[in-house]
Amino acid sequence: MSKFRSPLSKAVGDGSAKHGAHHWIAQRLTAIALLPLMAWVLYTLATLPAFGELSQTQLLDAVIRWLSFPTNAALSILTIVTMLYHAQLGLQVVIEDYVSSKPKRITLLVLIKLAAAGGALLSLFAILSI
Amino acid sequence: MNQRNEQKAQRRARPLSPHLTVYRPQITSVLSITHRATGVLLAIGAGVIVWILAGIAGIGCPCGLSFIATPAGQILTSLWILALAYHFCNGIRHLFWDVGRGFELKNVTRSGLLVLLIAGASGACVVYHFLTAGGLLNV
Repeated sequence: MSKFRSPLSKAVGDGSAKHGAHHWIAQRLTAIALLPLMAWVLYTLATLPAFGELSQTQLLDAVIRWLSFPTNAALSILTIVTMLYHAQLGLQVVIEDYVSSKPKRITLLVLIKLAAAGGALLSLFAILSI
Repeated sequence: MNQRNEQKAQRRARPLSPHLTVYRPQITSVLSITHRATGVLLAIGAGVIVWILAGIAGIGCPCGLSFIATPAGQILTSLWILALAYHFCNGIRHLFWDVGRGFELKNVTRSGLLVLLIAGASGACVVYHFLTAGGLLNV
């Protein structure tokens, strides 16, 4: 093993950064957290009251009323933030696999990280302001 | 110089990993790439959800919400629900693999078919109720 390490790396003696498994673990943990959360989303979608006939204002009122229940608001925030984090981790792997040009790859990776963080912040602000 | 260019051209002509097109499609590979495809689809959907939420809170217009109630919006949401049902069930399959269970080829095929069955049935159920509530399905 030591044959593959440079003299400098041996002298500094840091070894690996030990962050190698972080992405893998985070992806699995968010996946497990999303199981009950997405089950709740599917249940909510399956039990929606009739909304086809509502006007735009009626629809908006109904959703705002629903989101003003603390449980709904809290679960919505948890769901969207976990979902965006999980999506960012997943898209990162897809980009790393398929985008071979390094400049393009790094730009895309930074962009999806920013988009996920911005999206989380925006939805947090949106739900809390209701 | 010429040789260098040649090498570069050669490198560019090589297929990128993972090589999707060189293998005969099998249930294992098709389900695997579908997991990725549905994942990307769901990620796009997550972006749309953020946009809709912002619109509800008065940031931008609430047009995202009213779009969901239109026939096109209901169809797109139904596709999102089906993608979610699949990614959800196949994700559980992946979590079992992560703890080292179900790796035998026979079990991989079996769990794949089970995922298709459960995801299809539960997804169709949710879509049915959603479209009925939205009025696209008149029951």
